This record gives sequence, structure tokens and C-alpha cells, in this order.
Amino acid sequence: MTLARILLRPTLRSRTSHCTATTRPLLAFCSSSQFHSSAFLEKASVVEWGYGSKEMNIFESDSVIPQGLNKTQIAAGASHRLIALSGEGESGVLGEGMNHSGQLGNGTRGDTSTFSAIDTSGMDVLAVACGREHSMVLMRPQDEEAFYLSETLGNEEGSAVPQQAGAPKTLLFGFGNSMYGQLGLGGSKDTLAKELAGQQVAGFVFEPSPTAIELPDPEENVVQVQCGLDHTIIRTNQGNLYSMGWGADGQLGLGPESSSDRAVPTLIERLSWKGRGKDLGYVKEISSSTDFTLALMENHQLWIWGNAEYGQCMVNKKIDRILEPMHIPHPIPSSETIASVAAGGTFGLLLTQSGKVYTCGYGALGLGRDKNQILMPEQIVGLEGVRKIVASTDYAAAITDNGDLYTWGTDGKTGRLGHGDFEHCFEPRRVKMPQEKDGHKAIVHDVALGQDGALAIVETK
Amino acid sequence: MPLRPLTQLTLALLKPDLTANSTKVNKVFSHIQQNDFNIVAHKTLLWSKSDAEAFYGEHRGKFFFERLCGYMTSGHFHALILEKPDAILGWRALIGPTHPPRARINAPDTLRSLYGMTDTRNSFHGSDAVDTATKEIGFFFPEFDMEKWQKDQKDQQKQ
Repeated sequence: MTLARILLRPTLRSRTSHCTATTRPLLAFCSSSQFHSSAFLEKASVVEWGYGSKEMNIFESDSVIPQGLNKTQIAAGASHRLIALSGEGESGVLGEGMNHSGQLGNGTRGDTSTFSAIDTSGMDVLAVACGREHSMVLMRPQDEEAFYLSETLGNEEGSAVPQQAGAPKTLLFGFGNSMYGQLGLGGSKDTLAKELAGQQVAGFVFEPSPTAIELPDPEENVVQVQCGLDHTIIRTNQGNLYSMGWGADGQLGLGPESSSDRAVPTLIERLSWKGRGKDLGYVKEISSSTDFTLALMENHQLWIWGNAEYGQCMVNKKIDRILEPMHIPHPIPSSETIASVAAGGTFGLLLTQSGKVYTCGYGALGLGRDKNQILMPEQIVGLEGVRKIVASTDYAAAITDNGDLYTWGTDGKTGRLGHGDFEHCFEPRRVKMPQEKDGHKAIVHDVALGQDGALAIVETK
Repeated sequence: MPLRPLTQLTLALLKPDLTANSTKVNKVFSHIQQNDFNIVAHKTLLWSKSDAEAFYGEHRGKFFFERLCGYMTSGHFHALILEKPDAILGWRALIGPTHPPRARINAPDTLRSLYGMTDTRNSFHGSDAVDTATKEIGFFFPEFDMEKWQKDQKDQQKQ
């Protein structure tokens, strides 16, 4: 198949952000000479913690915007993380961490921890997502015509793709590792030998530059993208879900007979209008992490597929692998309505419309030291007024209506819980932000959890 | 009665998810040195599907066979022959329980707790007995002369 490649200019404009750093610069171009007065602290910043340190780092920029269409987007993978800025002064995706497979997207690969910046001028970044070693950036051109005339367009055959009528309004770009096909560009371990021999391949297994991913139907708009460790799930405005990457545990949800890997976006028929019609209902949210996915329908139905060997499937038993999306009968008290879902590694979380959090599966679940395995969801007592939940392989986070951030889970000497130590935390504990000093209050707007560390968008008041 | 060898060999693997992160690999090599293992041989490999199926053939038919082979073909990895007294048990104790999420709670100082990711991506392998160590060393290091190594051991012991 023909795959369009839209390569972004892999450099950010030289005039870059303002920055202060506590113990070390978060990003390469943060100059220590650019410290700010307290007046600047009335703004938002990105705070980073973990990565083997007990300290927290602050990245401040005029372009860190916590709310609205152009809000800052954050994501963290196993050992890399991305910050997408869409402010007036600059527009770019900043990256830090390991770049072994090109997961920072700056056109290079390397075996040491590094920094990167991708210029996304002219685009709004709607979402970023990171897998173990791969990255996804969902963007929308601010001015489609101008963007499509850009000299960076074109594919191998030289035909400019986006000039066709009905070109998608959103564009999904992938970079990094695609050994399992998780970038959806056609490359996988099956094509690696050809790639290494310098032969023509559909997509690179190690793709260091943001490359546009094509859906089977170009009319479809991607509205959400989620990465597990080695797979990717895409949700579109046409009521369809697509998956690519590792499938051995049912991560791709392609059906009872299918556990093979896919290197291009493949329809999850069981939960898509294209497969089952609109009577199915509309999937309003997917959450994918590690090796499984939770999906929440507009009618509040809950679905799951992938690995569930720790009972994270919420049906009172462990299931080694769920190859096709499975409906979960409402697993919490009937008086509660599920408002949001978050897939972790060995556990899953549910957020109710009343702001309560339920957990199910194995680990430091937030239910105390003595309760590490449950097969039906239980409420995490003491966590109330929650508006957002996020989960990763080994730990979880909740943001309250007040803008307080709580984390719990296992630490593994990473510092990823943000508690200033390397200890596990078996009950939710509030994360103290470095901005909370001199009478200032920190409002957490978003949080991204990676395997080695985490990021949050924090407004100081 | 055969003499008990002074030292023992075991086959260790640092699997693809770990190998993808050079910082963590360096830390693991520090653990290996701090625990007095001698690295007798070392190579990095990238397996094909048939390589993985050959090595894990005994698990064929189990539900995790497919994902184990998929994982082990997902990137380069390190194979090591490690040597020290009771190397087999010593290495298995250092890497810890099979499942990293359980290791983090029950055996927090082991390598799988610190560097393992998931049940499948458990980052390490260690031979479980003398005969499997011999077999696995032969699989990864066919050029390694086990008989000569054993003879040298006995000669040293007689001195």
C-alpha cells in the first residue's frame, strides 16, 4: 500500500521558551540565566518528577496553557516524555529521555538520554501519547490550505496527498519503535531485514521522524489516540476504533481468532459502527495502558480487551487474555454512573459521576497494604471530589475538583509517585507541588504517568 | 565421586525491553559486578521467530508461548555466561521472582522489581539447574568449550 509521509521540520524555532529549573534543566534550551520574578509564577508550568530522582523539576514557558483548544498536552512513555506547546510565540513538541528507537521524533536515534524539539508551526496539537518506545501526536492544521502547500509534503511517489477532496481535518503522526507494528506505518519485525538491507519498505521499524498515519477511510477524523506499551488504539468521529501493534494478549481486540500483530490501523469490528452499526452506541472514551484497554460508551456501558490475568476485567475472575472486546456488566453499585475509565497494568480504575474512584485487579491498589488483589471493583475510600483519573503500569493518579493531585502505587526506586522518596504508597497521597510556597497555591490541570516518571500541568495562584 | 566444581556457570539474558535502555543496562552490569559474577562470555543478538520458538519449545501450547516469543523477537538482547560459586541459584536470587509487579511488592530489591516491566516483559532470564544451564549455554554459545572449562575447573581444584 502507499503510505503518505509528511515529515515535520525537526527543529523548533531558535527563540524558545523561558525556563527555570530546580535541580537540572528539563529541556535542553532552558537557560539558567532566564530565571523569573514571582510575577511570572502567576502562570502555568509543567512539573516533572521521577526518573530516579526525589526532586521535582519545573519547566516554565509562556506557552504552557492549561485550558482551551490550544492547551498544553503531555505524555510519558517507558523512558521518554513529550510536552506539546501551542502558544502564540512558539508551537512545538518538546521531548526528553531515551531515543533508542527515535521515540523523541527529532529525526535522529541514539543510546543516551537526550532532548528534542519538533516544530509544529501552523498546527494545533490536540493530543500526544507515548508507548514503551513509540509516540503519537494528533494535530489539526490551523490553516489547512497553507499547510498543504508546504514544501514538506509529498510521499515516495511524489503525489501530494492532502489535496484530495475531503482530506482529514486531523492528522495523526507516529514515530519511534514499530517492531510490533505499533506505529501503523506498515513496518514491523517482519520487514526489519529489508529495512536493514536498505530495501524499499512501507514504513521504518525505527522511525525517527513524525510520519503521518493513514486510516483505511480518509474521511475519518481521529479524535483520540492511546498507547499501550507496545500497541496503539485510535478512536474516530465515525464511531470506529482501530488498533495496531502487539496482539498476543488480545491488545488489538480484533476477534476470538486473532492474536497476531498488525502493522497498519485495523478495525476493531466488535466496537465499531463499521462492523456493528450505530445501534452499538458511541464509544466516548478509551483508556489503554500496558497490555489492555477499557472503553466507555456514551450509554455508560463498559468494555475491555487485552490482558486481564490479574482480574482487571472486573467480572469476578482472572482471564489470561481477552481477544475481542468484552462487555463488563455494571461492576459498581447501581446508584453510581461511570464517568471515566483508566487502564493501568495489573489494575483498572473507574471514576463515577459523583467523583468517587473504584479500582480492581492487583498491586498497590490504594486500598491499604493488606489488600493487593481484588476481582470486583472497590471504592478507594478517602478519595472524594475527583474529576480526572490516570493510570499507568504500576501506579495511578487522581485530580480533584480543587486541583489537588493524589498518587498511589509501587515506586521501584524511580520517584515516580512524586512523594519525595522511593517508597511504595498503598493509599492515595497528595503530591506537593514545588510552586506551593510563599502563599501560592498549585492547581493541577493534567497529569501523565510513564513507567519511570511523570509530568503534570500546574497552574500557580 | 566427582569433585564439586569451584565455580558454576549459568546462562543469563538481559531481554529486549531492558536492552533498549542503555542507562538501565549499565546499571545491571554494575549489579553483576557488585555481586562478584565473572562474565565468561557476552554477545548481543536479535532473534527471529524460529530462534525464539526453538529456545522456548518446551512451553509450546501454553497460553503465554505466543507472547513470550513475540517479546523475545522485539529487539536486540544480551546473552551472558556468568560464573561464580553457585552461580545458578545466585543469579536467580538476584533477578528475583518471575513477575515484576509481584516482585515490586514481595522482593523489592531484586533486579526484576527494579528494572522489569510486566509479566511478559520481565527483563531477565536465568538457567534453573545445572543441566539446563549446560543446554542453554550450548544454545547461545555453541563455540564455548564446556568440557575444557570443566577440565580446567578440576585441574584448579587439585592444585
